[in-house]
Amino acid sequence: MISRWTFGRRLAAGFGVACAVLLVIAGITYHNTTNLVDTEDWVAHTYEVRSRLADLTAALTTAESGERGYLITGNDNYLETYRTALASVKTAVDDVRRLTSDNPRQQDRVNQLQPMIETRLANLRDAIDTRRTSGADAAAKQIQQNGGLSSMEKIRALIVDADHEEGELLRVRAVESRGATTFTTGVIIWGGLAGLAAIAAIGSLITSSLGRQIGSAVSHVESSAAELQASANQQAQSASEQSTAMNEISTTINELLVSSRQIADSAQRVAGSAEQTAIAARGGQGMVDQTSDSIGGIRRQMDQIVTHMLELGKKSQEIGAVLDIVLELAEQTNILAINATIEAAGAGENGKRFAVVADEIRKLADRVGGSAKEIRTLIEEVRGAVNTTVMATETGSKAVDAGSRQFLDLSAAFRQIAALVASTTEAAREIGLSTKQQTSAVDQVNVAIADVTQTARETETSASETLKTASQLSQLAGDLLRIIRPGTSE
Amino acid sequence: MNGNDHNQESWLLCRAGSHLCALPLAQILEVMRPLPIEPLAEAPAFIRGIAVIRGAPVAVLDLGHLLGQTRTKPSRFVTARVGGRTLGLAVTEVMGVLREDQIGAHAAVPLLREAAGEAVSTIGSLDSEALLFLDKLQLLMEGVPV
Repeated sequence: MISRWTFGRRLAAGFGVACAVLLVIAGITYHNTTNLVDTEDWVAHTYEVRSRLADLTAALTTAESGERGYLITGNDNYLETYRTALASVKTAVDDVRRLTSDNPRQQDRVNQLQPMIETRLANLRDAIDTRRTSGADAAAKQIQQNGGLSSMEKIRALIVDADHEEGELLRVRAVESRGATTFTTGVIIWGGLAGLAAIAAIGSLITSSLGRQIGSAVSHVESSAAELQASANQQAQSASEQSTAMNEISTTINELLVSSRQIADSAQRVAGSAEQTAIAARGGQGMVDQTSDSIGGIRRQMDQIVTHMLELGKKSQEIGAVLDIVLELAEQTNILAINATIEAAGAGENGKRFAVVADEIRKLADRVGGSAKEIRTLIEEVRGAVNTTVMATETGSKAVDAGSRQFLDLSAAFRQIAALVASTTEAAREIGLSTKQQTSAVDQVNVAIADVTQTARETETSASETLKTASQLSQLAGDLLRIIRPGTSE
Repeated sequence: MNGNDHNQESWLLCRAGSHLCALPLAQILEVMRPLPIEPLAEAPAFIRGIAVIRGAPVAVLDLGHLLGQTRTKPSRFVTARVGGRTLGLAVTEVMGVLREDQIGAHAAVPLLREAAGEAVSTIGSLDSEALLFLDKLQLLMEGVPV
């Protein structure tokens, strides 16, 4: 995991460990020094307590001396000493009580000592009062009765005990002070040595690790510099080729620009032609509409022709019926004439003239029959012609219908052509506009290609600079490698 | 009209099938349109059957079939008085009456007469067409049932 740390992290970790060692040493030293100072304070405190106990003893002695001097001499100057000693006694007792407040045994002693002192001081005051009122003898007698010597001894014994207590505490604290001093000295010496060793080890470790990694990185940098040199060479070559290609593209784009302008002109001409075609298509549409109306008229005329022809056929049929009657009459006349001829022949000479008339009648009937047959034939031909005409007219009517439909289709086609031509016109305009835009875009492309060409040249220059930089980087890598590995040759 | 020989003056010209025939006008009674015919079961093929003409049953012969033609639909009936009986002849067409002087030279051609049958007495020509003279109508009555 440490191998993945950055240099800064490693350095921070190394300095952190060194600082931690120093902090531990400093902490321990600080703690011991503080203890030592406390111990010294307590030693001073003990000395002060012992001093106050000595002051108490001295004040009591002074008070007793002043009381004795006054008792002996009656001189009031001794009373002054006495009074001063009383204040000192009180102060010393208060100081001892205050200074030994943390020690219950000493407090007990003070508590025992204070009434004894008060009693003793009361005895001294009583003796002084007795001396002042009753004289020296009465005072001596009172002193003997009060047993002042024993109470003073008891007071001294308690003060000595208290002093012994403080002396014992002083001895213990002196031992603690020496131990703390010794420990602190050891910590400072051995901790300092250990810290130096740890810092040296960490420094060696960091130096070794960084040397390895920097060496590896420098090797990589050298390799990368070589690759960068090759890449820069290739880039320079590519930039040169790109510049050449850009020049060719620029030439092609110029040709494309000329073509685009020609296309724009052609599109404009196409738009003009399409507009003329649209006008022609609209004219054609009008002619188609007129022709469609004419076809409608022809259709109506054809219908009238069919009607007339059918009427003619009907009349022909009626003529045929009349002809049938005529034929029937002619045939009947023929038969009657023949029979009349037969009868006339039977009449001999008398019937000859009648026979001639009858024969003429028969011939007339034959001619009528023949004419009727011819008329029938003609009528049949007329009917056939009428039928043919009707059929032809119907065929023509169907053809007219088909033609009308075709003209409708043609009209629709013309409208579609007009719409398509309009669409073509619009498309041609759009093509023209698009081509102009394309021409503008091609101009922009041309400018961009010029920029790209310039960029390619700059890239070529930059590649040369990169090549130079790569060489310098390679040289720097060698220098760095020699710095971290002094034995490395160039 | 009672001439039964070849010196008759007038003939009834008619067509039977494709043959042009001349019937002696003296024996002709009437020309009429065809009437309904009742066929006879066992009669010869040239007899069409019996028709009621002027209220009397008359045997009707198919003249064309009699002359060897196939049966055709007649357009006229010609009635003739033969031996006191009335005979009906079904013909294709009655064309008129011919006088003797209107007919070209005609001479008996025995061989043809045998081929045409006994009823044909003479074969002449009219307008470049053969004309069969049937002047012996009584011979036709031989095959007619009474």
